[in-house]
Amino acid sequence: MNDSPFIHLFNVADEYFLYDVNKNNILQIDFLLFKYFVNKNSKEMDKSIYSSIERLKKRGYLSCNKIEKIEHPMSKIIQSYLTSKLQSICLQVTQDCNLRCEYCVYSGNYLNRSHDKKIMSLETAQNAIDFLIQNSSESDRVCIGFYGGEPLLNFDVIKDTVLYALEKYPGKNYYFTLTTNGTVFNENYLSFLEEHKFSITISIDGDQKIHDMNRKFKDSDKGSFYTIMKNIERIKESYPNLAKRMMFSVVLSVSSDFMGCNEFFTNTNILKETELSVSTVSNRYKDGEHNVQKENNIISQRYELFKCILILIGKLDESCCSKMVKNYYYKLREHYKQFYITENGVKPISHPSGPCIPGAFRLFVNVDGNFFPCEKVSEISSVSKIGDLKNGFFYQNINTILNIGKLGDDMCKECWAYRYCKVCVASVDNLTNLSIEKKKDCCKRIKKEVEMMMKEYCFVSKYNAIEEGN
Amino acid sequence: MNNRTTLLFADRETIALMRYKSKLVNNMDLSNAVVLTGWGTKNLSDIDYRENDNSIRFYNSEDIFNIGTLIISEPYRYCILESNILPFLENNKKTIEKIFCYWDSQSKTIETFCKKYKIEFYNNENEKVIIENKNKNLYQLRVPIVYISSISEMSDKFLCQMEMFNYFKEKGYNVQLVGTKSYSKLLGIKSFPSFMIENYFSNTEKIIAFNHYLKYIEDIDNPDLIIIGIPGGINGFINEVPGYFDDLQYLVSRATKPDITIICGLYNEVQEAEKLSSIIENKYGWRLDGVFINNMLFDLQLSKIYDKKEYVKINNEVVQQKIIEANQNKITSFYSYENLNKLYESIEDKLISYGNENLI
Repeated sequence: MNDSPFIHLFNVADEYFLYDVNKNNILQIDFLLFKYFVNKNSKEMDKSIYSSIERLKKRGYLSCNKIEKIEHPMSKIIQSYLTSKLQSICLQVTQDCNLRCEYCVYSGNYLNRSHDKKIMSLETAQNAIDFLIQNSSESDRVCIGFYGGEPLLNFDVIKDTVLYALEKYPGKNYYFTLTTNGTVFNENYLSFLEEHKFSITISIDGDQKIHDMNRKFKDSDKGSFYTIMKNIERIKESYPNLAKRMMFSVVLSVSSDFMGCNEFFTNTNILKETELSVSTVSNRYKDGEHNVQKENNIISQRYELFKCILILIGKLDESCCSKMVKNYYYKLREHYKQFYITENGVKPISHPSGPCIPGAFRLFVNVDGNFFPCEKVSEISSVSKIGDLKNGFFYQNINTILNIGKLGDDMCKECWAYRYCKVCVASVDNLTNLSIEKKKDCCKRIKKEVEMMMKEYCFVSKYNAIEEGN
Repeated sequence: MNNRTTLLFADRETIALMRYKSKLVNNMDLSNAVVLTGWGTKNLSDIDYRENDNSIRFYNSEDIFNIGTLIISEPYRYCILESNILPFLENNKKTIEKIFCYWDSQSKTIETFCKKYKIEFYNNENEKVIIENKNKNLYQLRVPIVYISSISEMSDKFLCQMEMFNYFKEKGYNVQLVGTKSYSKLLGIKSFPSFMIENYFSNTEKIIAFNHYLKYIEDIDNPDLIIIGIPGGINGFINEVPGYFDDLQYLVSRATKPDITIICGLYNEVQEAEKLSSIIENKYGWRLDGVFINNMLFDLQLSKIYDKKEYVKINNEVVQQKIIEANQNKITSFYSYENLNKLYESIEDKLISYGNENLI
């Protein structure tokens, strides 16, 4: 039986902290106690250390309890959940695209499908809607998303699918979304999108120089920047309601300039009111060398993230927050609030928090009617395929994805960061099986991130910058 | 008189009207239970995973004709008054004879429609219980009292009340039920008195009035048993999701002490229910006789996202398995739909045993 307390130790400059996994609390402790726990040397135990430990134990801390069996709590009810509580469906209405972006996951540089002319038939789309309705009886609000390739290349199916859902199934509160490269708009499309209150995400990577480095038209190899900007202007002028529900997806590639992007999105009039979603080029499923950010980009980004901390503690005004990290800033408070929740111990049967409920929150249906847990997994992965329109859900695969912690489960049982894990199938997918090596790499990275979050929390807490309930 | 009755809409909140339609007053023939397409309801069993029948009708179906009596209840699922309810009323106004409206917030709109087309209109206002509190003392009740409460909402407490009511009725007992649904009177039972929920009275007045109300039932109906469903729940409020604080359970507990207490809970409240015995004894002075667990699970994560309570329906086999595991603890007895009769049998035995030593 393990008699070491289940804790994690860290320091922020000359202050020392203990994270108690069973209680999910962070305690500030003195250096002697910290050293004692680090060295685990009973010879270092003196009266004061002994008293501190006894006091902590009386308050319920320093329990040795760890997970005994890895099993996701949803395992027994996953079938019930997926047959009554689907939230959202994302339809890949086409695999065709009029751009050839350098970093695209369908460019051939990833272990995924390549660009193709395949389109989703109206029948398949309608069957997907029928499936969503049949399996969402406990959901009043459902999201229907349209994806590609470039989905507007198959606008007719988008339009007919929306009308099909509204006319055939009026008993749902629909929310429609579209992810687009922003080059294919016309008045007809825009009127329809505004009329049906679509939320649209347009991909734009920065100013003309940054954007056109990677996002070029297929047929001419010319950059798409000016076409997109014209369309954005048109939306802002003539479709104000659609403009309010518009956001931009910004990909920071290896060749991007973070500060240049920041300035562009902050100072360009027609863009500055619009929310951004910023990401880096994906390394998941990358065939070959991984994309590595330029050092000055990493430094610039970290600097902006550090400014978020200064804003939180009142040393800087919120207006100083870079648009590029605004979402991160808003999420900071939410992340820190997690440490306010005192838990009642590690449950003997439990699971790290990484995986979503596959299919429930964002069921991705490709042109052939195959199901995937989201659009981030590879469409050629047999591990990640969770069903199809003909046969419904494949519960064996779903259970495997849900219980991803069983892969190398001893690691998870011992993991102090299990409540904050982010490992999901996309991180460990080897197309035909799940990779323990990929999982180990993931775990290292996630633990670093969680520890950094704890350190930031401790720093910010000193300034009473986090209010419970805010 | 046309007994044909239509229910607008059929969902988890009104399922009892369909399950017990043979008990409807005035021989109401509930042959149309309307649903909107998109709710995932093709049959009655889609609502609560129990038996089927053929009463479900889709909103625009040609099968809906000759409405007769229309029962309107606040929809549990997504529905818009202007797009779904009012057009239905307009299209069918010629065949609607009367409307029973249990949708308080839209009652005025529907009443206006009824006045315009000279349709009889009834709502909760017509069914209020008035109690005169001249005597400020609490009466000692002789009749056995059963309280049916719940941990939180959506635990099919009303179904549990009706099942128990029917069980004892079929055994030949004179049983009175004070039900928790606003439409209770349509099923020939009493509704939980509105004075207990309104703000006009002090807590003291409510306790006395409720006690007198039960005494009134005892004197007039001379029952063998009174079953009381208590609205709300013991743990109505969750920190992270909008809920309510109420003291209704406590007020009722002061009005009279029950002989039997049943608590209803959700699938994911089993663990909580295991601790309930000592909690409710200390809090209310009730001794727990059994816990009914239904097939609904409260989804905290989604509830936080949507800022309202979200639930998931669980397959009955999974619930059964959970009940079997929970009953191994031997501290509290758990029941599901499948073995509710066993609970009522044990209650009947207990109450009969009280009669072995008669109070003079």
